[in-house]
Amino acid sequence: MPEEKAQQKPQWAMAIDLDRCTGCEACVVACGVENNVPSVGPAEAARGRAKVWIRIERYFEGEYPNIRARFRPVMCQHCEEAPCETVCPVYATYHTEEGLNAQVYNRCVGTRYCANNCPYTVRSFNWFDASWDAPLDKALNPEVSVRGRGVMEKCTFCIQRIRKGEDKARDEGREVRDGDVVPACVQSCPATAMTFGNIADPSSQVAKLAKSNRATRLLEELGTKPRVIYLSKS
Amino acid sequence: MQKSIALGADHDINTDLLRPLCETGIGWYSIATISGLVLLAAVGAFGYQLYRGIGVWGLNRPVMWAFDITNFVFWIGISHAGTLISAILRVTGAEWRRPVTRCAEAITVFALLIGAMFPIVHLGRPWLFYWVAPLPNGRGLWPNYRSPLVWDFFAINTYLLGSIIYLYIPLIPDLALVRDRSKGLKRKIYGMLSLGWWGTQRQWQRLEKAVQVMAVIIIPVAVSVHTIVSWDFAMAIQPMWHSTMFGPYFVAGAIFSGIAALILAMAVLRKVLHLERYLKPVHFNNLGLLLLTMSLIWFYFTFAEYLTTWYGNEPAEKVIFQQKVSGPFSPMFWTMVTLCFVIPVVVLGFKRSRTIKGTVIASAGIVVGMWLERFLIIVPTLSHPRMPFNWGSYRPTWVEVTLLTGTFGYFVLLYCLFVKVFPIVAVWEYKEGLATRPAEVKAAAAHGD
Amino acid sequence: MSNKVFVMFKKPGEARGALDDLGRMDFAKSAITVGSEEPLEGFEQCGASGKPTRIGLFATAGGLVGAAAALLLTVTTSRHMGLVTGGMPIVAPWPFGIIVFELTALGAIAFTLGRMIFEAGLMSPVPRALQKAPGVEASVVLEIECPTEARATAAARACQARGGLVTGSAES
Repeated sequence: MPEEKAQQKPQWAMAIDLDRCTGCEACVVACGVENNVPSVGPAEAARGRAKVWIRIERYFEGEYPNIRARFRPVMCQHCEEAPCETVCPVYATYHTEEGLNAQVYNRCVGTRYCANNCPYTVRSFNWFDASWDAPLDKALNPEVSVRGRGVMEKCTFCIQRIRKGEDKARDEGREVRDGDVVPACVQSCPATAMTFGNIADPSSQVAKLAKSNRATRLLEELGTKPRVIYLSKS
Repeated sequence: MQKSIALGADHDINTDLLRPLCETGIGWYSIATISGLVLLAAVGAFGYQLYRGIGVWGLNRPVMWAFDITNFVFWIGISHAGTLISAILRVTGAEWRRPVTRCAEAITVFALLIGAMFPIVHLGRPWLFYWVAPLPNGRGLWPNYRSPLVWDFFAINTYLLGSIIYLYIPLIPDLALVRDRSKGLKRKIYGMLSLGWWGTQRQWQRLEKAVQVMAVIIIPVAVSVHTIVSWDFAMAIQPMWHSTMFGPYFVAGAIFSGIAALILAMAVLRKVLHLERYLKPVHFNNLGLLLLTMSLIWFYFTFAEYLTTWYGNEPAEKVIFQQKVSGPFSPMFWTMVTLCFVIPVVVLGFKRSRTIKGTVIASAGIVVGMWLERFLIIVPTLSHPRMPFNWGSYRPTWVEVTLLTGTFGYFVLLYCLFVKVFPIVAVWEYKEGLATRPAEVKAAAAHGD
Repeated sequence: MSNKVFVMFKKPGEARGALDDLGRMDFAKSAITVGSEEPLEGFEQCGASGKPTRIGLFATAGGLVGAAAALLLTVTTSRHMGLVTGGMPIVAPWPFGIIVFELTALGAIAFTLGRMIFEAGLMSPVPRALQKAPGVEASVVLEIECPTEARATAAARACQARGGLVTGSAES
C-alpha cells in the first residue's frame, strides 16, 4: 500500500513528569489489569520474579534526617536503537514503523538474551504457566493475548489502544491527535504525571514536553535513544 | 599378565591397543553404570523442567542466565582440547602427539555435543529450538543473522561437523584393522565404517593429505567458535561484558581448560586401560608445559581485564568489579585465581612436580576454576545491572545442580562407549612413528622413563 | 586379458624383499598395489596412478562454494524479510561476515572429505582375496597385475619364496 507508506506514521512516545509522581503505583495496577499481566504470588515475587510491565523505582536523596524519596516509573523505553532487538535470534522482538519495540510472543523461543541486554531491566519472563488468583482469572482483557510459558513479555505502550485510536482517526479521516491514544498507566495516573502522544507531530503535548529544559532520557549515554522522556527539575 | 608382553612387535601393539574393544572388565561396567545413572538423573531433571517450566531453575529478573550458560561456555571450552590441540600438534609435526591425538579429538566431539545441548536446554520453549535454523517455513519465521546466538548456531555446527570428520578420517585405517580381526556382524559394521579401506599407498597418501588440510581448516574454526561464544557477552552492552578482548580471553581460557581435561582423561585411560606403555610421563610433562603456558596467558588476560576496569573507575563496571573481588562473589573469585593460576604455576613450574600426579592435580583444579571463571563472568554482571534499583541475586536449585553433574556423567559415559568401540590410541599413527622416526620416539621414550 | 595375483605378508620386510625380486623380474611398480596396516616407506611408486592430489584445490573450491552460499543465505533472505532491528541495516556486513566465515570453513571441510574419499578410491569393497580372515596376521598385502598366466605363476612363486601367502588369483 504505497499511499500508506508515503504517509508519515505517528511516532509514539511518552513523557513522565517526575516532579509530579507520588509513587502511588496506580499505573502498575492499571497496567496489570489492562495487559493481563499475571500475578505470581508472594513466594515467586520474593525470588525476584514479580511480573510487572511498569515499576516504580524508589531512590533516596540526601542524608538522614534530611532525606527525600524520589520515584521513577520505568517501563520499556521503546529505544529507537534497541539493544534487545539485535540479539534476538528469531526476530521475536523488532522495531515497528511507529517506533514501537514490538514483541511477537508466538515467535519467542525464550533465549532471554533480550532481557540480558536490556540496560533498563524492563523485560519479564514467563517462568511458569500464567495464573491469576480468583476472581481475577475471570476478568482478563479480551483484547490482549495471554502469554504462554517460556516467552518474554514487556510493555507494549498498550498497542491495543494505539490500534484502536489509529482506527478511529482513520474512520474520521484525520491524523491522530492528542487524546486518541491513552495507555492504561497514563489514564490512571492521579497526579497526571504521564503524557502520551505522537512525538513526530510538533503540536502534540509530548513533543512540547520533550523540548523542555527539564527533559532527560534514561541512560542516554548508551545511545539507545529511548522514547520515554523524564521531566525533572534537578 | 598384560605387563609381561614385550615391546616392539606390531602384533603386540595391535593386541595391546585393541584389547579394550575385546575385553570388558567389571571396572568398565561399574563406571558406565554410575555415569549412566548420573546422566539419567539429569534427564529426569530436564523432564521435570519441561513439565513445570524453566522457573524450576533459580533464575530471576535480572539474572536470566546462570548455570545453563556457564555449562554451555564451560563445555564448549573443554572441546578446544581436542581438535585445536591435536591440529596444532599435527601441523607443527610434534612427534610426541601420536598417542594423544585421538584421545583429544574424542574429547572435542563429546564436549561439543554436551555444550551444544545447553542453548537448547536453556530455552523457555526448548521444543522450538529449530526456529534458530534457516529452514524455509510457512510461519513467517527466519533467523536474525545479527544475533550472536545465530552465529553460535553456525559456528558450533561447523565445528561439530568438522570435529567429527577430523576424528573420523584418521580413524578409518584403525576401523579396517578392527574389521580384519573380527567376524560376523561386527566385521560387517566395521567394514562399512572403514569404507573398504585396505591401506594402499595411494589411500595412505590421500588420507594424510586430507588430515593435514583438515588440521589447517579446523584451527581457525576452533578459534572462531570460542570467540563467537565470547561475543554472546561482548556484543551485549552490559558492564564488564562489553569488552573487546573477550574473544582472545575466551579462546585462551578454552584451550587452558581443554588441556586440563585432556590430561585428566589421559590419566584415567592410562590406568583403566593399562596404556602405561603408550601414554608416558613425557606426554604429561609436555602437556603440563603447555598448561603452564596457558595458565600464564590466562592470568595475563585476567589481569589486563580487571586492571582496566579498576582503573577506568566507571561506576556501573566498578560495582561489578567490587562484587567479584571483595563482595559476595569474592570467595569464588579468589578460589578461581588460586585454582587457575597459583596452584598450576607452582606445581607445573618445577620439573620435579610436573609428574603425572602433579599435572593431574593441577588439571583438576583448573577444570573447577575455569567453570567458576565462566560463572563469575555471567552472574555478577547480570545481577548488577546499570540501574541499582534492579540489583538482584542468584541461587541455583537442585535442578540446575543435577543438570551440571549430569553433564559429567554424560561425558564419562560417552567416553566409556567410545573406548569400547574404537581404539583410543591411533594404532597406525603410533606405528608410523615407530617406523619412520625411531630415533626421536626412542629419545622421547627414554626421556619419559 | 590380464591376471591378478593376491599375496599377504606378515612383515613389511618380507614384502619389500618380494617387491625387489619382482622388480628384477621386470614387473613394473605401477602394476603392483601395496596395502599395509600403517604407512610404509619404500613403496612410494606402487599403485596404478601417479596423479598428484587435488585435495587442497578442492578444499579451496569448497570454501568458495560455502562463502557464496552464505552470502546468498544472509543477504537475499534478510532483504526478503526486511525487518528492522535495533537500528541496524537490513544487510549488515559485519555480522554477516561471521556467517560467511563459518560456511566457508564448512564448505572446505565437506569438499576435503569428499575429495579424499574419491581420490583414495574408498566406498568400494576390498578385493575378496585381500580380505583378511580373523586370525590371519598380515601387515602387508599385494595385488600384482600380470600380463599372462605364466607371469602370474612366476610372480606367485617369487612372493612365496619371500614368505608370502598367495590367497588367490583372478582373471580380469
